[in-house]
Amino acid sequence: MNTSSRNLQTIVFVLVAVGFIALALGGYLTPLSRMILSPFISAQSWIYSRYQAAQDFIRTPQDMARLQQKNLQSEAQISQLQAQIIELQQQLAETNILSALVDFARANPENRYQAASVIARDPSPFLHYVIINRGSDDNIQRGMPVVTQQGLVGRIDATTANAARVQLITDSTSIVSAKIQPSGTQAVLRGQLSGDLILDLIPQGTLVEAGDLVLTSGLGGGYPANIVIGQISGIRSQPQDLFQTASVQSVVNFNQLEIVLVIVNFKPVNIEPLIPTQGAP
Amino acid sequence: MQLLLAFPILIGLLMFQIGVLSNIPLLHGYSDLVLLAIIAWALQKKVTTAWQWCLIGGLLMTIVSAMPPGLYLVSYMLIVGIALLVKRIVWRIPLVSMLSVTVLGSFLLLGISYSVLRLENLDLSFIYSFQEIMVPTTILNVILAVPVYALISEIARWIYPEEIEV
Repeated sequence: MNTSSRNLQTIVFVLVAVGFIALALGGYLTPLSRMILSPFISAQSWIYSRYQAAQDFIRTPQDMARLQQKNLQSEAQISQLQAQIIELQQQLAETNILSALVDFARANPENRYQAASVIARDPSPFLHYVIINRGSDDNIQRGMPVVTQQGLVGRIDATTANAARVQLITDSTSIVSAKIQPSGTQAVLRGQLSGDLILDLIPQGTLVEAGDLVLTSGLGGGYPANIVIGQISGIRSQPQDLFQTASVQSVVNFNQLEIVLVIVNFKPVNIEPLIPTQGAP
Repeated sequence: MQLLLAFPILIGLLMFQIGVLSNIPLLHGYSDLVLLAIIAWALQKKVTTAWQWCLIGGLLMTIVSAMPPGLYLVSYMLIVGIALLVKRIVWRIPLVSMLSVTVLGSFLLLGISYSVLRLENLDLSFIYSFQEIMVPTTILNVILAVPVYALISEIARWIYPEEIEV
């Protein structure tokens, strides 16, 4: 009896289960399951969100510390990269200058050059001199012309073993024999206290125009001929004056001199003994 | 010791002056750190080597500059003489002494430089020199006088420590 009733219960249970499965597969239990599960899912979501909030609250200080550390590392890396960029930019600028100087030296093969860096300026504000890092050990001698790829800079005024002082053409004691192109007129270029260049002793009646090129003439033996100095930017001509004067815009930026070339195979000529003095026979 | 110290200090200041500050002009004026250091040293209470510092500074400037030899030496000696005189008269307010000697010394040095260059037949306009060189240089020197005085005072305090009464 007991056995048959237990079998009946099992059969009923299996049938009910199969019925439920069949109803579920047929989609008939969906509204019921939604109604039953909905509160559970809401509760579960609430519990999980609270757990997440609690976990974030506990973890945040650790994350902050880690983020701050990462931020510091990134900032250090950025600073390092910025320093590298600046260094590379400087190297690039230097390479550009050197490449231009090499081009200039190739274009003027008659001269031998010694490259030098400008390392200081004369302490007196009345003078326009710079100091370069090459001296008599590099065969640099007093009077040698100094140029850049743009044009004339000045000449060596004094040397030590490892350094030399260069008188710029803008110095108020500097005098350069020059010629104006295309007219070919000879004149004298003088430096000014302000750093400007004045072309003096241009004969009256000579046609000189703004934009004319000014080159070294080579007269006097102080500088080689045909080195570019600059362009005429203005002319002052008074009928009562014996000569005209002109202001010259130099092709060299004397405020940003970095690397210069010394023409080492040029020997300046001292013509002072040939200049007649008063009382001489 | 005090004399040996003059070399690194004055050479360091000179290198900074001709390498860095000479690229930062005010109009056409440049500051003179060596002059400021010599004045500041001369104005220190216990210092007895002001003339020696002046000699070293003047020689260094003579080596570096294309100005006629002896110009800096003579100018610096005159300025140190003025500084020592001022120290004797107004010894209680050293910073005022520093500023006044800086103004006086700057004009004296630049005035002598101008006169010497004029004597060498250089065509220099006085008005231009005054406006574009002398005044800006003096202004720059006055601006730098306080930090240089503070630096030199620290060095002097280190060399001549204050005596503590027990």
